[in-house]
Amino acid sequence: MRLKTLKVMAVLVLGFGLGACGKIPKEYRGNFVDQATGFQIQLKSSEGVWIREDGAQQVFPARAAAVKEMIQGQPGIYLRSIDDGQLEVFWVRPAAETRREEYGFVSFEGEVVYTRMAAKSPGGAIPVLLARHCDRGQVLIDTVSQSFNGGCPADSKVLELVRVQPKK
Amino acid sequence: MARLANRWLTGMVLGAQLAQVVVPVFSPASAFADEEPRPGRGAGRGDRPDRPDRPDRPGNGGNRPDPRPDPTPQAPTGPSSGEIAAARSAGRAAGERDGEREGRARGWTEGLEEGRRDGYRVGYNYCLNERRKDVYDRGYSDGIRTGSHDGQARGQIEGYSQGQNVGYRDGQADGDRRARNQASADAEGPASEEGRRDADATDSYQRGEAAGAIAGDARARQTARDTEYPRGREAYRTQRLNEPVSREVAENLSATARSAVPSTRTALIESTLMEHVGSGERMSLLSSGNPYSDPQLRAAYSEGYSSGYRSGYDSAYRQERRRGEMAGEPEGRQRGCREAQFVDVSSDFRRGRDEGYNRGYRESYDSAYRVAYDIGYGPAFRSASDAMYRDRYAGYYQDAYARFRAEAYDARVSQLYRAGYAAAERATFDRTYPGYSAAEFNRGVTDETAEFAANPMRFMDSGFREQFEDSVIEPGETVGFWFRVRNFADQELSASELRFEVETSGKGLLPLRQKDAGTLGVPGLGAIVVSGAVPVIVSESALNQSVSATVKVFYRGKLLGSKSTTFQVKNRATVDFVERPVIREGLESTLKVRVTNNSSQPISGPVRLEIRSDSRQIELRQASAEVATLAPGESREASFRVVGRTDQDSPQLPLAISVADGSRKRVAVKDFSGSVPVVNDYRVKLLQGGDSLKNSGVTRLSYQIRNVSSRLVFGALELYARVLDSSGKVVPEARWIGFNPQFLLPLERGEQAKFVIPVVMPQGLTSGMVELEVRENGVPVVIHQASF
Repeated sequence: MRLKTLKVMAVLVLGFGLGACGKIPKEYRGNFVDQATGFQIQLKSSEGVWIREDGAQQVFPARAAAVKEMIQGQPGIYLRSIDDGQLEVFWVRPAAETRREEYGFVSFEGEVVYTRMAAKSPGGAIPVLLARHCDRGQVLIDTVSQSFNGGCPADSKVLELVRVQPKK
Repeated sequence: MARLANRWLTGMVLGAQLAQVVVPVFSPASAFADEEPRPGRGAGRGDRPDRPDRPDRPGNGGNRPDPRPDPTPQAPTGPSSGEIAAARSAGRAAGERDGEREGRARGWTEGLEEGRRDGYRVGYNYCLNERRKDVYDRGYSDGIRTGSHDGQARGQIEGYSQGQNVGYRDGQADGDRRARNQASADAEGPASEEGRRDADATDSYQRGEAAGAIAGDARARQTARDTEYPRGREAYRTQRLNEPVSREVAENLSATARSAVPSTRTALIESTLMEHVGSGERMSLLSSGNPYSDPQLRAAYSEGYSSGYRSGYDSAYRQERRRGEMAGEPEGRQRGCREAQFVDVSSDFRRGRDEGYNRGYRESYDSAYRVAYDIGYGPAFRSASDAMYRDRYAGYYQDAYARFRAEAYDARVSQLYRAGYAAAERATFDRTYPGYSAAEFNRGVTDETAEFAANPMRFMDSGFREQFEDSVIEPGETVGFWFRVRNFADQELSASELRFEVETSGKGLLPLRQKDAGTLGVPGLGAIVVSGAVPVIVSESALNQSVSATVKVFYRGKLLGSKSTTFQVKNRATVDFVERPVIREGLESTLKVRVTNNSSQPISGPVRLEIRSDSRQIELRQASAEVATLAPGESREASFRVVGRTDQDSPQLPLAISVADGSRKRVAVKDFSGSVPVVNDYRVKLLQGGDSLKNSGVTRLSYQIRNVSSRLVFGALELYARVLDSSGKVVPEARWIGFNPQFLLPLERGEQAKFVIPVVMPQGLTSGMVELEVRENGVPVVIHQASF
């Protein structure tokens, strides 16, 4: 029981120490590309960049799971600690025109990339990163409980993002 | 340590005595009245008249008496440093001199006194102890001598006496025992001989013979009765039963049948020393003069004097004191020793004498006692033993003789009797048995003959017959019993006087109304078989149990015979799950069953299977199935489609499966009540909000979802929510806030998450159901329902 409690506390401390400050774990920093779609991402300590096949880029700041910014419909990489020393990475680019607010709930659609990162990876740099990606994802925020749901539909894709060396 | 304490105490006494002498000299009215105040002295403390100051005593430093003469005021121009040093040196020399003198005088005196005291104490104690030991030893020796004498005398007397007493007692016991044993040994032979001889002279053998003859005759008669009589009857009965049946009739009566875990020593020396030094300083102060008039030189002189005085005093005091102690000690010791000679030590003499006496007495007593005891014991023992032997032998002999004789006599008589008895009994039996045997056999034949004549109707056998002759006794089936009776009379007898019963055990068999008699006559030397007389119906409670029934047949009120029959009740067919039943919440699953025909007859088709449950945790989508005709031993499988309606992981579900043949007659049933696993990949539970659905307005439905077994990575989860009215129709007025379907972040296997689904409920809907369907990558994985 005590061991379990300590374990949970360790996870919380670790989570808040890393994820809560909105930093991408160093093992995940770098450039990744999905060979099937050409979709690329660049991960830095406090931001991430999407690079599409046509070269268009978009930069997102990494944030702790700050519901405040999310309510405002701001794009970003929202990091949230979960059990087992993992971080949920909810990367969203809201479609501003879809934003609605009623009965204390804010909802909007947008492009979403969801993946998970280990808060601490003893093996060094991560070679591959799996992520769920969709253009028509959802976010539903409960402003009362300051919590949110979100996700992708069934027809969304799972990206296999392989680490690549950045172009000089 | 004791010596140090003594010195300290002595010092204190001397200090007090000196204080009494010096105090008047120190009083302000005398000694210090014409002197100027001395620098460094506390005004308050310096005014104390009743006690000399103690220069170095801890905590009294500021009040230390200055042995220097008081300085006289001088002109402002001061002396040179050399003059001051010379003055200090001169003062120191003068001080050392005075101190040394004073210390020597006081040290010698005090040391001498101390030495005398110590010596006295040592001498006194030593000599006194020596005397006491000497006196004790003398007393002890005297006591030993006296005690030994007394002990020996007493030990001899008491030992001898006790030895005699005990020896006498033991001797008597020994003599008695010897007499008894010897007498017994001496008497046994002749006594036994006489006993046997006397026995031989009796008629024991003849008496045994007579009794044996009687017993042999009785045994022969009884044996013949027990064996030959029944044999005779059996022989006749067999003969009759083996006779051919002239004519046999059969009658079926079933037509009318019906149905439960600082050095203290140093401090003490210093304290004592300073007490003396203080007094000495005062005395020196009065006799010393400061030769300087210049204040600075006077001060230097005084400082040197003070330092030198103390140094000189200390050194001389210690040395002289030690010398005085050494000089006084022998004197004191001698005096102490002399004093010790006058102490009364008679008590030590008495103590030694008493202890010596006790020890001498005890040791002498013990040894003398043992010796005397032995001396007294032996002769007494021997004498008493011999005397007792002589006194008791004759009596014991007589007793033993009589006893041995009687025992030998009795044994011999018994032996003779048994021999005569056995021979005669056997001979008589052999002689008489044949006659008795023949007679008893004939009697048996005669009696059986008469029995047959009187009761010519005989029970022969009974059995049962199934309603459906398929070798399976089923619940609901009627079993008809039959029996066979023979008539050994020459003429036909009426079957109307035949009566029969069927007794059943437990509640598994229910006898229908009995029909007592047949209508046909039983032909002379013929037989009748009656069937269907007492039909019984097998109840449902007898399923899978053994039940028994006993048929009893009476003729003219007399029991002719009975027979019990046991059989296993089972269905014609069995039905069971092919595999352990599992369900899925909200989703269909199939329950496979297998039905097997266990009877020897086909089960006509279509064989219909039905599943029922009164649990609301399961919905039976397809509750019946049919299979074709089942041949004997054949099995067929069928399935039912069901939907789980529970958020429990393994609910207890009662299920019943029945099987009926083509004629709608039930041929198998299975009652199942056990845990049924719910095997959805995801499980959903409504945590709160369900009750609020009865009210119009916004309701937050809080759910918990758990991925139980889906191994998909980042499976896309979609939530479809519906509100249904009491008839199961979707209520379109219920409006979902946000999205419906709503997407949910993926869950890995074993993870769970909570989410909220907000809904705006319309007015007027007071009951119904909220349904949440979860799809993973588009495939429904669980449909959860909650009523409100």
